[in-house]
Amino acid sequence: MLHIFICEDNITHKNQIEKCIENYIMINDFDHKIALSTDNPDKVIDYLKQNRVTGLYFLDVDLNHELDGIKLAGKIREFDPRGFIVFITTHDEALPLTFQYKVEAMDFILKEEFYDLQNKIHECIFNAHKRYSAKLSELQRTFSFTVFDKLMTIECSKIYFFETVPGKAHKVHIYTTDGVFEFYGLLSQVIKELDSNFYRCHKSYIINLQQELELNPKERLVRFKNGSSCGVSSRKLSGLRDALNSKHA
Amino acid sequence: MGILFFQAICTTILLYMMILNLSNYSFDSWQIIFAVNASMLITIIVSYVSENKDMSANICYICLPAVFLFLKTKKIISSIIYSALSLIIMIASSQISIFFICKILRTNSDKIRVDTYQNCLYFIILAILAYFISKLIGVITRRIEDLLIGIETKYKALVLLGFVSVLMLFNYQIFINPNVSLTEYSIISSIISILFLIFLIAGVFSFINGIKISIETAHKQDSLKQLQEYTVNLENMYGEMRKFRHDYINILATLYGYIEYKDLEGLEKYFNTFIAPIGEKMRDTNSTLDRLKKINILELKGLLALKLMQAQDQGIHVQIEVVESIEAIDFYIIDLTRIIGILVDNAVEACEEIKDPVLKLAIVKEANIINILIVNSIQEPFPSIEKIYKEGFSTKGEGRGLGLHTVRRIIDQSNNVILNTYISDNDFIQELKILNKED
Repeated sequence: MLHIFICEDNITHKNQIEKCIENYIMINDFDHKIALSTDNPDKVIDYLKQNRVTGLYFLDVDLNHELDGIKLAGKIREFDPRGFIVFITTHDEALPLTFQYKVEAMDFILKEEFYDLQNKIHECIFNAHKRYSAKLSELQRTFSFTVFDKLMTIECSKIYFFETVPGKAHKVHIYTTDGVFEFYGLLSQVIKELDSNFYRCHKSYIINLQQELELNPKERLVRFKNGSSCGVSSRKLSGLRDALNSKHA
Repeated sequence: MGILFFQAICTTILLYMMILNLSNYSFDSWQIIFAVNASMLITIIVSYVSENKDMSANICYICLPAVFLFLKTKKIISSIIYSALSLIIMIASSQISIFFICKILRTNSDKIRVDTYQNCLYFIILAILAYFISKLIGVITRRIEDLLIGIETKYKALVLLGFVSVLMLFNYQIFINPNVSLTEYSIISSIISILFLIFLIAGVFSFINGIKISIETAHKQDSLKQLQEYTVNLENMYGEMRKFRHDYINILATLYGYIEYKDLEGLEKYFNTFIAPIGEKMRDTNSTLDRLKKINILELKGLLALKLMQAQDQGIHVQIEVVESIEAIDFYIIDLTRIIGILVDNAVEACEEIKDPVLKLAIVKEANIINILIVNSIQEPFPSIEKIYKEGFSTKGEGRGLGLHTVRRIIDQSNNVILNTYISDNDFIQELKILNKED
């Protein structure tokens, strides 16, 4: 069950949102409920201190309180890291990228679009419901690395290969289906954290054998389906061939 | 003859060792073995056939490594520089070692050439000297290369010319006829060679510094111009605000009118036709630029203001988010503005190709990390990330993709900057993370 929270200092607006949510839950027969509707952010924190819940939070950014919506969201994250946060804000205060970066906000609702409020709220509840009910048991193998002390995670199945920067041995590039990421590290450390699906075919490359790839022994190159390619050192050629064969066998 | 072979072999090995020290290219071991063996063979054959054995050997020493380097790197200028430089160091250190052996063992250079024991000693000293001098100069040239990033090729050619002329000037006599009585002449010439090399490097340094200073001045003028445009834009925005305030008063007065006469129907009509659209209109106004006010680095503010105003003029919807004040970024400001300029240009260029383009810029602080996000909307089919990463959005025309290459080189040189490029939900994101070391 999702616990829904509303924190909004404009009472009219707050009641409007409440009504929207109640209607939508009733129509769809969801088992979610409004846990708290308030104009005081401290109450939200108090509630979370006493109850361990996964919530859907509708937060006004400007709360006339020492805690603004963004800071409140930061606090909420300490108690409910998996919850869904939606900001309610004017266009002038809307900071979609910042919201997402700082507190992984799910969405935001613009006050200027009051005529569309109902639809927007429905969409938020629906999305939160969908994500919440999605099977979390699907455990993905991941690769974690730190960028300036901050931990980042990438699903292994998305990785094509790792590459060190020529002339700069301590920087590693990760080529994935989503894009290219960088961190400071060593391939010799990276390979230790990976399973047997990964193979170090060159002193500057570790490749993911799970990806669709094509080995060209003549040019000593491995080509991936996205068009990128890695060199293979002559000593690793036969080892790579064996590894590929055993994968396909 | 035996000694000639021995010399050719040692010299070739030394030359390649020095090139490895001087450059930062990485070679596979088989490539080095192949190059060394082939060079040795060619040198021996050429000097065996030729009349003037020393000169032809010398020509081999300078040409062959250059050719192999060129085959490997495809960079003609640096190939010649590295092989020429290694030969200069070789000749200079050979003369120094001959001088020392003469002084210590009280022999002369002709004896060194014939006596096997002395010849071995000579090569050992030569190898040690050559190794350390080349290592040292390698470090220095790499610093020069760092400075040279982005400086035009014609200046690089000048540097090359300098190196080659030194080689010619100070060694041509040895080059043509190494059998002149060496002791007196050689020590003077080698000292002069090394001194000149040092002067030359110092000269190159100050020359490059001169260029840098002129770049910096030009850069300052640019940012001043950008800031002026920014100011003009702000003044226009202020004008818009005043107009809005005027309208606002009118609206309030009208509302009051309806309320006074309790004309609820009229009020509803008025609200729906006049006030509701204002909310929508407000969304599209040009008020985003004042969000740059939290950036307290003038160069950065000016650059972003200019680039984003230009983007707006092209019909791109620009969104800016800078919440925390940005005081200092631990990155050489000219490099920083250059990188950001290129990244924003990339995003704008990508926007040209789609309908209803959106460009978002956000600067978000996280502890001592500054995240600069440049996001542009893209449409399917998505361009290959690999291609974007290597070349930028260079779908059209020559020279467009060069920007990202510069970005990569600058970033790879620093140890506190990371660039991630990825696609997420129809957005192409360029994410620059800079660690502020002291904060």
